[in-house]
Amino acid sequence: MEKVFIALAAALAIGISALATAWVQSRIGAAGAGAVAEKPEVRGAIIVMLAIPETLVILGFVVAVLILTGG
Amino acid sequence: MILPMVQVELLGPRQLLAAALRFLQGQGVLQLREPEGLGAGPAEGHGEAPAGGEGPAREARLAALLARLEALLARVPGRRRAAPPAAPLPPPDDEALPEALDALGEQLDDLSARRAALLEEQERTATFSRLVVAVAPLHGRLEAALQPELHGLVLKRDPAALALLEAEVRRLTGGRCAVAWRELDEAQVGVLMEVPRAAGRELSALLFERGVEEVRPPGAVAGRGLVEGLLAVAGRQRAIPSELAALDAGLEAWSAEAGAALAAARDEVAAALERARAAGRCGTTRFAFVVAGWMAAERVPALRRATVEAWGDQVALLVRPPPRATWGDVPVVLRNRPLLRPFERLLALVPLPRYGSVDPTPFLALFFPFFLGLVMGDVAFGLLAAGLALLARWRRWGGAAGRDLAAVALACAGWSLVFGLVFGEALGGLGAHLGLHPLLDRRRALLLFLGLALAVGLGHVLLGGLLGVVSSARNGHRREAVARAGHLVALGAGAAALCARLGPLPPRAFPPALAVAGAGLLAATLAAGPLAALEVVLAFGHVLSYARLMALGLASLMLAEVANGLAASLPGPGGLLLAVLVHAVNFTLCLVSPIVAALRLHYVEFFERFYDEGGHPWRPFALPEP
Repeated sequence: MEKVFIALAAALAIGISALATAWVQSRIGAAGAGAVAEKPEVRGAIIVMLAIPETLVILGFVVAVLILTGG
Repeated sequence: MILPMVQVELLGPRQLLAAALRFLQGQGVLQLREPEGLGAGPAEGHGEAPAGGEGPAREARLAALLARLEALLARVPGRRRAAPPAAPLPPPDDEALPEALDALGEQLDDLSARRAALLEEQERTATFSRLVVAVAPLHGRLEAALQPELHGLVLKRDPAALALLEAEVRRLTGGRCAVAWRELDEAQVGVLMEVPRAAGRELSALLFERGVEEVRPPGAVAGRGLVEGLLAVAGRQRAIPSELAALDAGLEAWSAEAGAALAAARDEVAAALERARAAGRCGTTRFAFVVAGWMAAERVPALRRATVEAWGDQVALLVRPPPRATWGDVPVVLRNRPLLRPFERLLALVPLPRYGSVDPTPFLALFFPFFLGLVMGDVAFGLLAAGLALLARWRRWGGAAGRDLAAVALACAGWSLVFGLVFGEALGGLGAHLGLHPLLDRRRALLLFLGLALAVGLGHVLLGGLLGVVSSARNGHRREAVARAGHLVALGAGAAALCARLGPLPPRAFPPALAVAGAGLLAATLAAGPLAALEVVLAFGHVLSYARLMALGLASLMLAEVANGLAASLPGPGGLLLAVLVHAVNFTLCLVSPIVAALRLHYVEFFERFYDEGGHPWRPFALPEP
């Protein structure tokens, strides 16, 4: 039973953070596509902005690894 | 590195200004700026019309001429300039130039109109011929005395409409007509009508009123009967291609000569326009002029020699380093060693660094491939990436940009090979079957791999902080330098204290590390205020962000394992094919995700510590490129 809770906790850690990242990226992506259409020179900045919320899921992943490995 | 620049002023008698600008434009080493210390009065000031009549009116005239030349050149087919023109156009300031452009425009209009007319006739002849050939065998004939003429239609298949059309034509001509039709294809019917010439105009009007578009007969058929029309169409069909070929040859010869003359004139006018605009930025008095600008310090001796050769002591060249207060306006030229130069492309996505700040290209060249290699970490993928990069270089894909990107890819492939050997991976776990022994098995030693990624991140962020301290100190911002140094110490010592608590460092290191971190935080707070503490917390967050290197690497490894598992569980070629496909997907993902992640780690986590953006690109006052 304990293993089930550990797996569930790890899944929640990465699942919720992935959902949060996806939601933020969808907002940035939509706005970024509009911005690039009007000013192609902001392409680089938009790529970086799109990558910024990835930190959420990365941290969720780290927490999941720590939960699974008992670290 | 950012190339050292100097501030240059060229001074001389006012009547030499036009010649001096022409000289500087030929040298192409100076970026102009507004000279300092001159008033804007009518007699003394910069921006007024200098000697030679180079004022706003001339500038407007040259701009209009340039627009006309560009428009004409866009219409000239073929290559713009194969050789210098045999008959060049008049110079930009010659009143005859607009007239010459008018004449060339008319010639081009005439040639284009003749070609368009021939093409239209060819199309009409082909359409009409198709119609006549299809329907003529069914056609009756009118007496020659009625002067019959042909009218053709292409209609949708509708027997009722065709019967109605025939009835209308017969009513109009009093029955003196011949109407025949035949299916041209599944949807269309060709209709040929022969009517007396006297009724031709009325028939055309009737068809126009009913919204039926006639197949207009070519000019050679107009007013002729069936047989004569057929003969005329056949004759034109034979003659038009040779007429077109002759016209095209004439147009090509005209384009070669006129195109070369127009291109040369366009370059001359563009250069003159640049000089006219430059004249507006020069300082002048009643007797003297001054041209000010920036140039690379390394080019000064050559310019000084050329100035003396051209003007002797009539013109003086003053050179001084740009004052620190003006560094924000100084243009930036990046100059790195050939091995590092391809990595300057990675800076294209962010604004240029400001003059006097740190050029991050060498650090990008070191860390970007390192990060990609750490994520990819696969011998097979490294070899594949190296092969693709070498192929791109050999086939010269993408020109200069492609060559640079291939060099970057080669460096990434090298690091991927190195980390592939460290992790003992080739297409995931297949490396073990090839005799690779992992020094660090990232499938099992997850925490160690995470620690490695975070250690790399800590080193990267600390290096960025160190560069920030150096940059602030070099720019004379002492408080900022102290605050950045405090952040640096607090981050480094804080990380050491954390390591002492978690195990990698001996526990006895904890108290001194904590004390040093506190001292660093205190120094940063004293220098930059209470928000300095927040900066340190953010810096820890930035270090944690490097966990993505581990996460992406592990994801890539797991995908490779899935591919290998598919090959093992599905016997036969199907499983193998599926495994190859999944490995291909994994390789593609390895090219995309780590690139974005590595760029982001540089742009956000690393550059934030020291990067001073807002540099102006180098735009020399030079002859326009042909």
